[in-house]
Amino acid sequence: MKRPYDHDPMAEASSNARVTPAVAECRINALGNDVLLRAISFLEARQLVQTCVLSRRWRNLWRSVPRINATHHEFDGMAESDEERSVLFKKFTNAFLKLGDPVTLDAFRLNYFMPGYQESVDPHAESEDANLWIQHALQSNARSVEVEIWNGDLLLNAAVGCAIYDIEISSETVKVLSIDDSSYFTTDKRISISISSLSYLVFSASARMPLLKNMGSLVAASVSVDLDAEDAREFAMVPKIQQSYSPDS
Amino acid sequence: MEVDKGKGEAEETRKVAEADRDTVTLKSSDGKLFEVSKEAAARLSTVLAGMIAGGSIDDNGTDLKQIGSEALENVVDYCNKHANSIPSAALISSSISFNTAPFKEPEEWERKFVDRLSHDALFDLVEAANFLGMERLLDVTCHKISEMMKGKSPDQIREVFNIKNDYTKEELEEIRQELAWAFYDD
Repeated sequence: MKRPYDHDPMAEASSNARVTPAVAECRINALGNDVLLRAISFLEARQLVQTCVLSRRWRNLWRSVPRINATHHEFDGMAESDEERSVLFKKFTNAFLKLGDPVTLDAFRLNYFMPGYQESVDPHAESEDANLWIQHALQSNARSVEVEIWNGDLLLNAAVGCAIYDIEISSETVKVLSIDDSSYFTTDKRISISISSLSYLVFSASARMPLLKNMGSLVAASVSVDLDAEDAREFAMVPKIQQSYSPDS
Repeated sequence: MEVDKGKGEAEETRKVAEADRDTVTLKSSDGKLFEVSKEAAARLSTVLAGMIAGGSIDDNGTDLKQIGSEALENVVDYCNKHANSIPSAALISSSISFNTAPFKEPEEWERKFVDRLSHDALFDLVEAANFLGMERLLDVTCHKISEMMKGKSPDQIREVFNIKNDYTKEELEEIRQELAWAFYDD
């Protein structure tokens, strides 16, 4: 043990009273679990888990946060090489998702560095962990899944973003889908998006207008595409879509 | 609307409001009256929306016994500022309910709004937002709490929030071994 966890915070708080007024009571522990979870779920995942040492009240809170923000940046400087750091990050994320309570997951954000991708003979293997995590989030009914990949292309099984190899994106539970300029498509065919639960769609990519199906729940959408005349006619008929497109094609 | 409108001019505003009734009057636990636009209240607070729809709004001041005047003033202030900020928010989120939208980073004015609050005022506002079902305000205030923790050691966090460490040394050691994958400080 390196850190003196057993020091008395009260004593320290009062000695600092001149600089920062001493807090009379512990307001944060008086909050209900739902509110406390909402607050700590804004932390990055590793620090979030570490809140368990604060006091008994905090011991298992991390397990039921509604949002998980897993980022490899939290492991910067913790290993000699990118590969080692990636191992730590994988181990961490696997454990977090395995030991956490999946029922409560609302949003999942992944910021992932794939060290072996460039040399890899099997890019699918490199994507395997991330696919499992994303699948886990989707199976936990996460409304929002946000993925940012460095040093490689994620080959998605579930087709949610990044390099999109599938031409059909469908889900029963996704509420927010965002495909932006950083995504690209390996197909010239029109992709189809069929998500009956989708409330918000942002589609901004160098691709043809996606075929939108089962958009009954759609509340708002922003679509920016390379539009050709045929697509435009159909586009105009999609209700509730905020139109913005690049007229460059 | 000005920041302090609710406090001193509440009575005056209320008389004006009675003519067109597009505002509601809220009464803090210590008996102060605050005016807030009915539209903003219904949009930002599920509880107030329910009360407005259910006709349980009192024209002489709807009692909110759980909320002190300082917190209620902040709530009303937030609603007014939010209403004023809408035209600038060209994001798609502006037209959709904040109760169902995924979390978006606080906007500049929202940051300033919570940054100026004292420790106690922040927590009073968190509790008020929770009580009134104000999802966006709850997110913004909770986000502020997370920023007060961000990058700090457990000791520093305990100090900021006055959290009493009630673990024994042995228990802490046990936790750190059990969750070694999250600590790695060999």
